[in-house]
Amino acid sequence: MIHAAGTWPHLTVISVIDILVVAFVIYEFLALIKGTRAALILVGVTVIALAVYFLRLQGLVTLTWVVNRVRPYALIALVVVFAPEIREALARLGRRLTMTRASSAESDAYDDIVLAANLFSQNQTGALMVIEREIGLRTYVESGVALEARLSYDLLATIFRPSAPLHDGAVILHGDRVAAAACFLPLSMNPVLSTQLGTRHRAGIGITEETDAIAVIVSEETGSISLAVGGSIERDLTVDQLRERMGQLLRRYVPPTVLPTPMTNGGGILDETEEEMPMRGSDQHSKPGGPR
Amino acid sequence: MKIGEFFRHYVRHNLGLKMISLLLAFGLWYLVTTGKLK
Repeated sequence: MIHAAGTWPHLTVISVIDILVVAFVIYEFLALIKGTRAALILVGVTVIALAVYFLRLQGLVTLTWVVNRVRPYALIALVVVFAPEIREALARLGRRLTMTRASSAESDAYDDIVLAANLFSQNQTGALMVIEREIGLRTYVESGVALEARLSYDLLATIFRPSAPLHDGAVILHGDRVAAAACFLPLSMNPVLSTQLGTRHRAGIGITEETDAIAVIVSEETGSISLAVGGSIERDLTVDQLRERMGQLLRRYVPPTVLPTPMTNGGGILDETEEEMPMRGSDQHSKPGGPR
Repeated sequence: MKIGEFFRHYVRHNLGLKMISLLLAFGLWYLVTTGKLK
């Protein structure tokens, strides 16, 4: 037992455990909101709270009265403001307790996403693919056109063809199924995001702020591949980096694949040959990505 | 897992945030224990 001089309280083993548990809770919360809009809100709330505290010390009676009246409602307001973060924290806790993992049968289909992202990148075709994890995306699925089709490279390539009716919007992937296409997603309002990011990227980040989904975004302007998760975006990924990150996030090994390379012919991109895609498996029948 | 690897993976990651959290927790404990925060 430690007893410091002056007014310092006793520091027992229980106190140390108490402090460490509170520190853990604070750390988890700060780590959760780091780099998001909620962090800026927290700074604002802290500044106001400190200002009110110091002003009350000066003996401002009216301010003290107002603060005492408002305080119970302020707590409710904080819960409302931080609702997405609280939701995410509880979902994270649930995931840890249930030890949920993506099943290998479902996650085998994700190699098609990497291949499709490679195709879109080469063709400079805009694409937004959202991979559902533990938190359901039914609200967003209902905003688009329901498909419930088996996930395949060919299907993704077809959906995002610029002339296709479903190319505008997001594709939501649920396990090894394409749940819906042309879905509307919430746009991220994070003020610290680069102004270079357009609506597609903001939508991709927005859905990962609200849920634990992963968004793969291919820029229509530059063909660059980005990955959004947890409200943050990793830009200009190579296909290998995308494969590696998806393997980490989905907790599985995504095997390396020989990727199709573009063959230009007067500015157009020719079809890939079967020989260029030896790892595609038996479901590779057609030759997507033809001249547009 | 070696101790060095454990240190790199679990301790050094986000060390600043961990220190701030510990400081805040300690400050909170002090205020509550001394009765300054009711």
